[in-house]
Amino acid sequence: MDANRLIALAKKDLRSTLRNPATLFMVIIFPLVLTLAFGLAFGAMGTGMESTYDVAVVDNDGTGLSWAGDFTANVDASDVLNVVPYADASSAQRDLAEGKIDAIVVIPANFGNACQSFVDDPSNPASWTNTSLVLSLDSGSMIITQALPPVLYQVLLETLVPGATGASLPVTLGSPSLVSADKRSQFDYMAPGLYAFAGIFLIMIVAESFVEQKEKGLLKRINVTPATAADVIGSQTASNLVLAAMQTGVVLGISAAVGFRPGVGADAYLMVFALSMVFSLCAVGCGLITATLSKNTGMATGLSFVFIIPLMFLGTFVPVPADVGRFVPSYYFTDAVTSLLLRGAPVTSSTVLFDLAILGTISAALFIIGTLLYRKLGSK
Amino acid sequence: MTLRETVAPARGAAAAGGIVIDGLVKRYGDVLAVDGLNLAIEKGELFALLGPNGAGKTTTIKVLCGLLDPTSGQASIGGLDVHRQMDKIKRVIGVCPQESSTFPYLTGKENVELFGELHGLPKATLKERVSEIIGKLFLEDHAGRLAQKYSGGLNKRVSLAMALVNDPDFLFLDEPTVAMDPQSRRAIWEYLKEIKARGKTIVLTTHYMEEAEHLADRIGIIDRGKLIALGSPARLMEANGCDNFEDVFIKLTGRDIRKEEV
Ligand SMILES: Nc1ncnc2c1ncn2[C@@H]1O[C@H](COP(=O)(O)OP(=O)(O)O)[C@@H](O)[C@H]1O
Ligand SMILES: [Mg+2]
Repeated sequence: MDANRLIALAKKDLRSTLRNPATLFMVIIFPLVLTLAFGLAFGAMGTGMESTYDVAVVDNDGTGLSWAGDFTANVDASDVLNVVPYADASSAQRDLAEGKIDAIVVIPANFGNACQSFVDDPSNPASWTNTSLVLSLDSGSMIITQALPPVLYQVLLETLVPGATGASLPVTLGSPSLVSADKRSQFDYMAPGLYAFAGIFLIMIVAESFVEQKEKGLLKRINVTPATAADVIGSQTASNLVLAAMQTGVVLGISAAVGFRPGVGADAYLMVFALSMVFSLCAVGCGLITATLSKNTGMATGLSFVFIIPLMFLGTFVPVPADVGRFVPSYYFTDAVTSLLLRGAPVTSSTVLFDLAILGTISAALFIIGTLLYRKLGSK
Repeated sequence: MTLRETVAPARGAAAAGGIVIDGLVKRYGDVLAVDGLNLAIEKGELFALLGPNGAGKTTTIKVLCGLLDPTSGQASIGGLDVHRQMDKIKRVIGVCPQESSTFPYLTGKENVELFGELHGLPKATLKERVSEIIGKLFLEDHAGRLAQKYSGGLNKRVSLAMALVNDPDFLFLDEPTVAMDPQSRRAIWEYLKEIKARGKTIVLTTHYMEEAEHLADRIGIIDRGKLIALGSPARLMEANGCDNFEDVFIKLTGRDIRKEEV
């Protein structure tokens, strides 16, 4: 293998892939559009623009008076708040943590008495029964943490003294406990699979590229120069490493733009790039096997789906039982990316390293098989 | 002069660095494409290989540049055996195949540069060679466009430029001027004469008799895989009592239209 020849050929391969509209679409545009479409359809982009907030109300009032019900109805009547009744505080807490609701208001047992004591003698605080509403808020939402307590006070006032603008009341707002909600959208769970999804189509690119060059007599032309088969395969590999890096950049950039920002360190992202490079070796291997078996480019396109379909359905964002996924390399790629980006696993964690080792082994094996097959049969 | 005399190869003369083809046979299954060909081409010679479609010209060239293994027989280029020393041969040959193949998504210039790089030309030399060839073949106006958009003749000229970029000692040109207008053809003829004047050996096939007559030192006519005539254009015309070369060709190969075309 000669470095200058390899670079010259890799440059040719990259130019050919990126300048041909059909392959450019497959390699870059398709993952870009797919990530964008899935991001918008299933993504978290909506959270920042929510126009109503779900407030869980846990009504513990035991007085039998109507005040708790009136208050709840008034909260619900507000334009921006939507009441979701909960029977107990613990299930409400869980949903708040999972980001399903934005706030919890617990109405205390003596709420009715407190309200009644105020209405009976509004000007004599000494006769009031004092109590407070217990609040839990999503710490991630500025609007909830800043605006919800004053809004609740206004609703309370309106319930007790309709038309009043301010008064001291026997019911106060307890200082809210802030809960950091995990605002995972469906897209967040899909995003790691998109990296593998993009890379899988390199199989078709490699297969078509080899067969087309064979059909057009271009491989023969290269064969009558000092370039060797190792140069040719090496350059395809190099150009696909570059394409894989570009795809990873595209998926990373677009998914960040539509709201998937896992907030992990640079080392995790570097590991994602490294994993996609390793995965691209697997694509080159499958592509070479396909090219060897194909008589023309049409056949190469069709035959590449023999690899693409299982890799796509068993190892990307399509939910399958893990036992089935274990047979395809893309599963390990997606699993490692999920661990890194979603579960916040460190790059040196055993899960990630295990996935990398398996992915590396399968990719190396496919690459070697592809290379040997191709050198034996494919270049003729 | 008898036909027998014109066929005999000048073996001794060519051994010193030319091309020697010795008892070459190539079969494709039942088809006998080359049938015991003996031929010696001298170093510095411009040799035209003529013959009707399916005569075995392309097959012979493919064997010489290592793209096909012969069924039997031997050949050598510059004293190097085509079977055993192809690695060395590849450094000193340039091949323009019959189907003009260029990379469609590279520009004409990038196609030519690629082949210079594959031959390991240093950057400065590469730049010089590429701009010389682009000039000689009048490709300046087209060199920046993708080859995909080229007409047949233009594609052929770029394909030829790719074969020339490494300044090869031995050039194999399989129908290099097909689909070209007379202007382009003349430009190529002039350039080939320049290359020959620098001591390079050129083997070309063509169906244009005036091309062979104009350029070739010697012409070999093959039919059904066998060499049937060999000599300078003037001698072949004289020997066959014709005053133009096309008559010689028809006289030797007959009037039947050949079906074979790959
Ligand atoms: N790959 C092939 N498989 C089978 N037959 C072939 C193949 N290539 C050429 N031939 C046959 O070999 C003979 C010589 O072909 P070729 O060398 O291309 O002739 P020419 O270049 O003189 O037209 C023809 O009969 C052709 O049909
Ligand atoms: Mg031919």
